[in-house]
Amino acid sequence: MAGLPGALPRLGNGYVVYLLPGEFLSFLGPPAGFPEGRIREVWRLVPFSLVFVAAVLAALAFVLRRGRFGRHTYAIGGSVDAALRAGIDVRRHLVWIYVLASGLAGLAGVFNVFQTGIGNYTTFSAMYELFAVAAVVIGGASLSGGKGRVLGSAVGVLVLAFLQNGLAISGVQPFYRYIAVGVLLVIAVVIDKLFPDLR
Amino acid sequence: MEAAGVAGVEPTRARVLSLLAERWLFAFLALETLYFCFAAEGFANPNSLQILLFYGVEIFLLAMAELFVIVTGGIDLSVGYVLGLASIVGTKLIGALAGAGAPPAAALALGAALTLAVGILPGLVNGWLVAYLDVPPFIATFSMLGVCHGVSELIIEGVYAMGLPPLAAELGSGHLLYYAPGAGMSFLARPEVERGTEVWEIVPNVVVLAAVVIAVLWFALSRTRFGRHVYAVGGNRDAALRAGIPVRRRLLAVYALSAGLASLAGLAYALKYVSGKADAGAGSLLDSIAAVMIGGASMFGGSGTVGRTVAGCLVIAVLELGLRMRGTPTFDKYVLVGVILVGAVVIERWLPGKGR
Repeated sequence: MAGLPGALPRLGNGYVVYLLPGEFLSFLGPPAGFPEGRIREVWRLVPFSLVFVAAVLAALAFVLRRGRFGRHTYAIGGSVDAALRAGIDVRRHLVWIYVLASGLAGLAGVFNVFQTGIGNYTTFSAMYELFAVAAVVIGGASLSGGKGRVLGSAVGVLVLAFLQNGLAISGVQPFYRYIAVGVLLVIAVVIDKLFPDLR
Repeated sequence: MEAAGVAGVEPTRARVLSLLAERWLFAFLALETLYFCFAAEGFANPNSLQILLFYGVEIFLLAMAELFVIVTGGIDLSVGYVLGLASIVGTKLIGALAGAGAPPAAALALGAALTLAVGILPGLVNGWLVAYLDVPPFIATFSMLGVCHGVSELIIEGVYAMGLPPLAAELGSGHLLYYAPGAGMSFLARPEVERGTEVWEIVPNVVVLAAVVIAVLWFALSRTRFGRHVYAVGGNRDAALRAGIPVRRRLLAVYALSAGLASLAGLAYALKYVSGKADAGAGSLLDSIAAVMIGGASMFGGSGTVGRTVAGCLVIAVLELGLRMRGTPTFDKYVLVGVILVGAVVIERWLPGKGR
């Protein structure tokens, strides 16, 4: 925690609504003077992380589906040649795509600091990139480009997260989770291949 | 050269450039080695070569596995954890066989053979998914990475796999040739000399294993029909199909080969460290892919050679050992491998004469 102002972890781990039925309903934090020891009785709803992620996803979905930037992105993925002929500055656009990717990764890193209070270059994020790709593919995107949506990718992330969390809560050894994620991923892709009309 | 002489003076600049395109990797490797000979104390010693080959065995074998897959235009992300799985299965099997009363040598041979048979299974599944179900290689092998990781951890339940007979350690950290000045030479076994006498250890056994395998693979890729088919599948799948090449069977074989090589690397790991663990090869995955790329293979398939991949592995191995002997933190290696990788790809892309 060294060097971080105390407000940051509160921001990363806080909730929007604090509710104790019959006693109080407060926003952004329990009422002043509420005993620290009873915090577990309080219903804490809508974590800041959800608000944060929802805002970012909404912005990205808007950019991808409604904006020119998004149209160009799909065009390049669909066919680079066609995009070039349509007058899209493909190189420039690709640079911005990768800038965006690294910027979002940076955002994830910053939020991770808010939540955990420490900066760590690995451990927490080990293999995140592979899981991220897996989530996008489960969400219906194609690795050959031109397809994929923000909502689908979000559902892909939720599928993986539910699977991991659900197996963990039901007491399954963590090792089965790796296997389950792998098998699920293949099944998702095979279904995608077997029923091309579903898209 | 003849043609250039007839047609007049070939522009020197173009000649230098095309020579550079062809040979830059070897020049780079030589310069790198020379640099560490001066910059790292104790690096300029034949023993360094043995050390870097000894510790690099897994990367060499994994890079070979990756090379075949990359030549077909795919990628195999599972090799690192197949290595780990094989190191565990090998350790357990050989240990169990030796524990059941089999003579150590027989236990070792039988256990190793069984481990390879088990280790090829993930590759067969990968190949089946990629070749017959059209699952993208990235997804198929990433799933297999997770499955192998999970199965490995289930087998060992969080501890190292142990129990190899002493013969395994002797083989794994032993050398092909021993030379004791005055007492003569001996093969495989350390000569009986007084304690403290100098004994030269020449060529670690695991390096011999890797060298033999690499030689066979070089032959397979560059001199056999199978090798030509692998290039054809990667170069243009449709054309390969029309030429009557059994593309799917070749793909299946390539992924099985990849897992087999990773299992061999896992056995080498088990012999070297006398134990097996799930993430034994996790860190080697990206190094092995980088080695193939530095060796000039294209991610889109159809190009890449065994010789240049070996050079790519050496670039990484020399860098790692050199930096360590210089006392530089390991993390510098990651940065430098990344920079060299990008540099290599840019050079391959922009230098002329890329007709490979």
